[in-house]
Amino acid sequence: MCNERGESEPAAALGLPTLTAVTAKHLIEIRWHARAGQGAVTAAKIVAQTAMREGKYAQAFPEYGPERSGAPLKAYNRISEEPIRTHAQVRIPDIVIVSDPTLLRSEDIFAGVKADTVFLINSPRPAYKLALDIRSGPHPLYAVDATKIAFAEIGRHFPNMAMLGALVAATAIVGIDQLLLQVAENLGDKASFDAVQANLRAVRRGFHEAASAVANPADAPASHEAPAQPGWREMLPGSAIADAGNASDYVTGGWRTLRPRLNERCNDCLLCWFFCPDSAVVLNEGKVTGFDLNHCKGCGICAQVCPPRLKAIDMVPEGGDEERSS
Amino acid sequence: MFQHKTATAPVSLKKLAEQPDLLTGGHRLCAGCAESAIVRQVLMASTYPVVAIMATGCLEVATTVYPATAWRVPMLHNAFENAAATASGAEAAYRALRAKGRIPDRELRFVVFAGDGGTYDIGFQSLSGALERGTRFLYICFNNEGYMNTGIQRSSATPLGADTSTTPVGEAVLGKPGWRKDLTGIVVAHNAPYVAQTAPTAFRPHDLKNKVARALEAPGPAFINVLSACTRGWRYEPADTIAITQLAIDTCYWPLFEVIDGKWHLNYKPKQKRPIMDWLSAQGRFRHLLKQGRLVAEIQARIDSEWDTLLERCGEAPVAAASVPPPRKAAGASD
Repeated sequence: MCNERGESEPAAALGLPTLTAVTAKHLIEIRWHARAGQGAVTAAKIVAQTAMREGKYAQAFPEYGPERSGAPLKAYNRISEEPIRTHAQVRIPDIVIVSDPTLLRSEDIFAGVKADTVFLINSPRPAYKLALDIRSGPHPLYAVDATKIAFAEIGRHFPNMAMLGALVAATAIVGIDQLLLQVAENLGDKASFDAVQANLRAVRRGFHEAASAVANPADAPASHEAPAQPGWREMLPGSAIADAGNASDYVTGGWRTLRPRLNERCNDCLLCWFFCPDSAVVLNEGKVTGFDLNHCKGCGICAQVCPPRLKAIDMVPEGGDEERSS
Repeated sequence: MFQHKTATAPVSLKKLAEQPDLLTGGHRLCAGCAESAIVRQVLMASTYPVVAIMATGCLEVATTVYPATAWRVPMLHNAFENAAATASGAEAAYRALRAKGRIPDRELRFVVFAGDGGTYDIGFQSLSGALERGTRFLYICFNNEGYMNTGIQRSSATPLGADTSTTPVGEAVLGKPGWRKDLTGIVVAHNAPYVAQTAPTAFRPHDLKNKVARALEAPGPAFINVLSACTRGWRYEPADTIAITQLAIDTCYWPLFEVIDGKWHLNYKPKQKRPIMDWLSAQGRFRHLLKQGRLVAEIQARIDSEWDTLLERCGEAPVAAASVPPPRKAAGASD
């Protein structure tokens, strides 16, 4: 199992920014990396409302396009003792939260980070191991198996309740008591008593089970660049797009949590290719040779339409056994 | 009269696979969305170059995120309510320019893609107008039975009892109160030369593409109503998109038929109708109905009578009645 207390050091002993160091700042900016439909936007809202409950100024807002359920999204928080003038996306975060472990593959979680940016990641891996694996270098890193907690307490993949508790454990950006009150208040209207209790248990477990580590400070992460500001270009009349099919440059493979795998029983009937919504079944001379993992969203239609007597496609978890051991 | 039979020698999937895909990946429809699979099949089925025209909807916002497009064919989007009128204009311009020799002389086809919101409701007047004018085009309605793009509001295609954000289930209301509109029948009443109903299913994989091929030979307007499963709005697992569509056909909720020059043809007759509960119980939007025996019986009766009417129109003998009466014990108890 992961998050074993014995494998992590207390934050202070490692010289991590202790709770006071983070909260003493005038303005704290948080970036959430999550998937649509897992409750990250709600969680960010709860953080802001809790801060306001404590008399602070706060913002919470998501960033996404027309992407749908399962797509990676970002959400942002700003919390300050003073009024906040900025309303743009967070470019240089103080805290980065990754609430789905499969996003570590596809998202640039290091974009724009500072040397003391704190990372909080949902992962079944122990924090020290995760820090080495993702090469988080000198950054303080906290890990919590929020997916496991969510399935155990809530029964569905809503990892962000545990992430809220872990956020407070890692940074004390708000008080845990105020956070629990706010969660109960937000869910109270729409959820049953039992569901509210389950969510509160998930918050508390996140708070208690978050574990920290720092990797080798010399092992610097890949990128510290702030995201480039988009430039400008001339539009064609009528918003015409001259480059037909250029959407294929856009990678939707990061939406996937299951990956199709072809086995030897395939007889090239091509039903999977015919029904694939993402044009992601790769053919060569009329034979199925594999899948375009830049575009496959992992819906599993290919495995479903494969004739039952063949069952030539298996859907296997993304990220290997280690990442998804729970 | 057009030669719909000869126009559609079935083309094998292997043959179709020799053509390049005309809709790319990298669009941002939900994982498991039926719409892009349907578009791919429609574009594959055409032996003519196609000009696509879209109404506002999921397909439009997700395949054309500026400055990117997933379409490898010319694609026009105008507004929610006027896809058919836009097609009329484009087709008339094309005909005029061709007659004057201002553009290459070749056969094109104009194909509208619109959701049920853009067809049954908002785009209804422009569709009716184009049908009446006799515009030569093919109108594909993606019927996912609601305004899924804007957050699952009810449309006039939404079935009785479905939970949507504007017909929320509560103590007094059990989902959408009324029956869905019979749009396919309304289009038949416009005397369009080709009208069909279909859905993408693995057991009849050729149904959709063969109908598109026939429709593109029609001398005037053609209309195909395609049931398009929506994982978010209907609430089922994305992998089941094609399997769930099968249930709609086997329960006679969504029969496969076509009307050619006013003559009705049934394309598939299940040997035995499955009870409507099989269709309802597979989807979260109907979950509250599982304990509403009376309402389920009402839905079953209506489905049965519509099916009988269809059989009669198509000159088919009735099917053995569903041998499974009220599907579940619990169903009858709560009336």
